[in-house]
This record gives sequence, C-alpha cells and structure tokens, in this order.
Amino acid sequence: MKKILVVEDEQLLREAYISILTKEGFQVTGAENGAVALDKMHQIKPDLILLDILMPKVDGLEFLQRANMAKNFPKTKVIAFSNLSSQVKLEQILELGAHRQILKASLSPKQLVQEVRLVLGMDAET
Amino acid sequence: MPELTSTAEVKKGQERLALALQASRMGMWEWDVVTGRLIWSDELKQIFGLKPNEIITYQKYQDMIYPDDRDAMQAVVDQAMVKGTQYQVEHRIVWPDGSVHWLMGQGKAYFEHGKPVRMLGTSMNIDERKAAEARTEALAQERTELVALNSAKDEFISLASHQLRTPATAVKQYLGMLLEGYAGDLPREQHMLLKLAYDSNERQITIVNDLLKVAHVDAGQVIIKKEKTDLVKLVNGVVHDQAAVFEARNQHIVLNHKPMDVYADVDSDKIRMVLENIIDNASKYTPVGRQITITISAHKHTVTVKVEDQGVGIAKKDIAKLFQKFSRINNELSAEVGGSGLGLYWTKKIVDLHGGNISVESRVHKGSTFIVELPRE
Repeated sequence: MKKILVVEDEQLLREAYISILTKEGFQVTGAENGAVALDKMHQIKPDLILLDILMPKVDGLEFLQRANMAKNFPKTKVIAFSNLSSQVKLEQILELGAHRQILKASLSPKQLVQEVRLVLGMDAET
Repeated sequence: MPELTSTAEVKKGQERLALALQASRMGMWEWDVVTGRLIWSDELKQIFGLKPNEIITYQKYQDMIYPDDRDAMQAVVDQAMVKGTQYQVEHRIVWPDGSVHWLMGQGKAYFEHGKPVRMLGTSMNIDERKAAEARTEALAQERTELVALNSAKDEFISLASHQLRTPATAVKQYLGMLLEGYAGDLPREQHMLLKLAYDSNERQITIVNDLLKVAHVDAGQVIIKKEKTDLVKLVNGVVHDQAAVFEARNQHIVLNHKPMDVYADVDSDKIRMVLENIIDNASKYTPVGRQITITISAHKHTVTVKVEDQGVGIAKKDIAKLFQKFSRINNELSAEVGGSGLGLYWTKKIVDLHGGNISVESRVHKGSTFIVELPRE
C-alpha cells in the first residue's frame, strides 16, 4: 500500500484530501504544517507528499530544504500545490525536488487521484 | 564708486533706481542704526499694505512681521550687524487688513570704525511663488497618498483573493467527492443540483484566480522567463486539454500551420495561459456546432497565432473596451459565459511584456479573429 503524507494547513482541505485518497486505497497521514511534517517524515517514509506551499510556521519551501529530499528521501515524490503569486518560490520548489506543481483549486477529487497515480507511476484509473 | 558730479545726475541715478525697483516690484529701505531713522520707498509701503504717506518706525516694522517669524528675522538681522554679510530671508508679514503675505527680504549692514551704522535692504512679495510651491507640495503629497492607496488596493485584492480561494477549494473538494461517487451513487436530480453548485463554485474560483493574476501583473511582479518554444506543440496541447469542452459544444477545431513547427522565444507557461484564454473565449462566444480555426505562421521577425471563431462577434465601439480591466461586453452569450472581465486585460499585459501585440478583427454575428503576434527572439 502506497503511503502519502498530506501537508496542508487548512483543516477542511487536509481532511478532504485524506478522505479521498484513503477511499482510493492509499495509506494517508496528515500534517498541518511543515514542522509537523518534518517530524513525521522518518517515521512514515512516504512514497508521495502532497505539499501546500503557503503555510504558517514552516512553509513548503522550508520543509523541502530542511527535509533535504535528495539526500534523505530520494524515492519520495512531491506534488506541490502552488498558487499564482508565488512564482519565484515555485522554481525553488521544483529545484528542491518537487516532481509536479499543481495550481491549488484546479483539480477535482478524481483528477487529483489521477495526478497522484501518474506521479507514483501507477496505472491511471479510468 | 564713480563720483557723481551734479545734482541733475544724482537725480537721474535715483530715477533709474526707482524705475528698476518698480519694474522688479521690489521695495527698498534704509535704516540709520545710529539715529534710528527708517526710510521706506513707496513700493515697500505698498508691499506692506501701507499708504505712501505712512510714517514708518522700526517698532512698527517689527510689529508687522508675522509673530512666528519674528525671532528668526531678528536673529538674521543681528547676525548681519555683527558679521557684515548680506542676508537673504523668506518670511511672512501681516498687513493692516489682517492678511498674511510672503516676502523675500535681503539686506546688508555697513560699518564705520568697526561699528554698524547703516543698513540697506530690499523686499519683494513672493506670494505667487509660495502658493505655487504649496500646490506642488500638495500634489506631491497627493501622489504619494494615491500610490500608497493603490498598492494597498492591490494588496487587499491579493489578500482577499487568497482568503476566498481556500473555502472555495474546500467546497470544490467536498462537492467533487459527492459528484464523483466517493459517498455512493446519487439520484439523478441530486447529481444535477450538485453539479450546478459545483459549476458555480468553479466560476468563483476562476474569478478569484483572475483577480490574483491581475493583482500580480499590476504590481509588476510577473517575471517572463523566455525559452525556445514550439507554438504548434503548445497550441496542440491547449486544444487537447480543452477537447472535452469543444466536444460538449459540438465545435470543430481546425489547426493550420505552415512549417511543421513554429518556434518563438517566449515564457511557455504564460503564453500557454494566454492562448488557453483566447481559445477558451472563442469556444464560449461561438454558438454550438460551429468551427474555430487556429492558424500559426512564422514571419521574418515574428510569429502569429490567429484564432478565428464563428461567434457572436464584437461591435466596433466595444473593441477598444475589450482589453480594459473589469470590462465585460454584452451580447447574447455573455450572461451564460460569466467571467470576470479580467482575462483579456491580463492576456494583453502578458503579450505586452513579451514585446508582442494582440489585436482583434470582428464583425457582429459573423465572428471574431484574435491575432497574437510575438517576437521570434
């Protein structure tokens, strides 16, 4: 079972993603900010992280820096939820090892699941 | 100093001086420090709002200086009497009628045996200059305030949009879960009603995103990262992604391009959004079952992407408004389409930032052609 860590500060959104992905058969853990996510990384060793960029305390960028993805978690994929006004940060996030960036609010639940499967190299569900 | 030989010449000299002072609207005074005698020219009396026959004393003069300026004036005069340097000072006076006026005063003390015995000076009214300065200052102040207000507005739009997007995103996920069967199958009517709510929320998200994009471009924060891009591939990608929309509206897309691939040095993400917007508009403002033709061509220094629809068209008088912020043009499809009136404003800004050009040819009920011209390099 693939493990996913959902890092999103908005509780309602975090719970929606967790609920959708759990129903799709993933093992999902939530974290409300980058600091909590960092604590959970070594214990969970997720296959994929859904990472919000704008978060209080430790944001998405700082999370990727501190987690040192390439060195510590080379197998973990990252989908970053971008927003239109964080262009400069986005480049950095991709440099820091994110595999895909998705504009927040652009995907429906099914579309999100398709992206997750694509990034994880699973057959996209039709 | 040349020696004056006759009283006639002295008189002539005095006349010339009087004329010069009058022409420059300058008043003159002379103060005998020893006797305290003060002589004022008629012009000076006029400048002080006094009658020509008025007798002037030093006390009277001091009383006419604007109270707040008295100490500073006194200090300047005192210093001139010690150092013998010429002073120049701007100060206010109060006329007998109570009105306040600005003067520019100059003066110099003359010495005998190291003691000041005489002072000479001139004054002129500078009300007009002061008023102009005040106006300039007020304008500068106003401008500063407007700039601050404008950036506060941009910040507000940006902040409000961010705040609005979060709940809209949550609505999208939860309605999406219901619609996409995550909570079991829905009866058809419930599905239909939820779909209306979902679509309405989608429109809201689009508007919020447009507001953010515009706030971003207005704040000058958009960075264009140019890279060699095949526009044919890019347009194909857009058409492919929007295939479901064209299919739903039973619209036929024709893509023409002369060379196999047409390259231009552009920010591919931004230009993709530009073309998405134009192609999406073409579809939305074209009735069901018609055709949209996209033509990509390369020229010596530019490449053009033409998007031609068979839609409602745009009246001549409305074309100028097309690229303005918040402008929406009424036609038989505009209510159905919705939209924020920001898409084409943003689109033009991005094309401009590339050094390109966007133009429109249109005929009402025949259709519109949007032409995006971009430099090849």
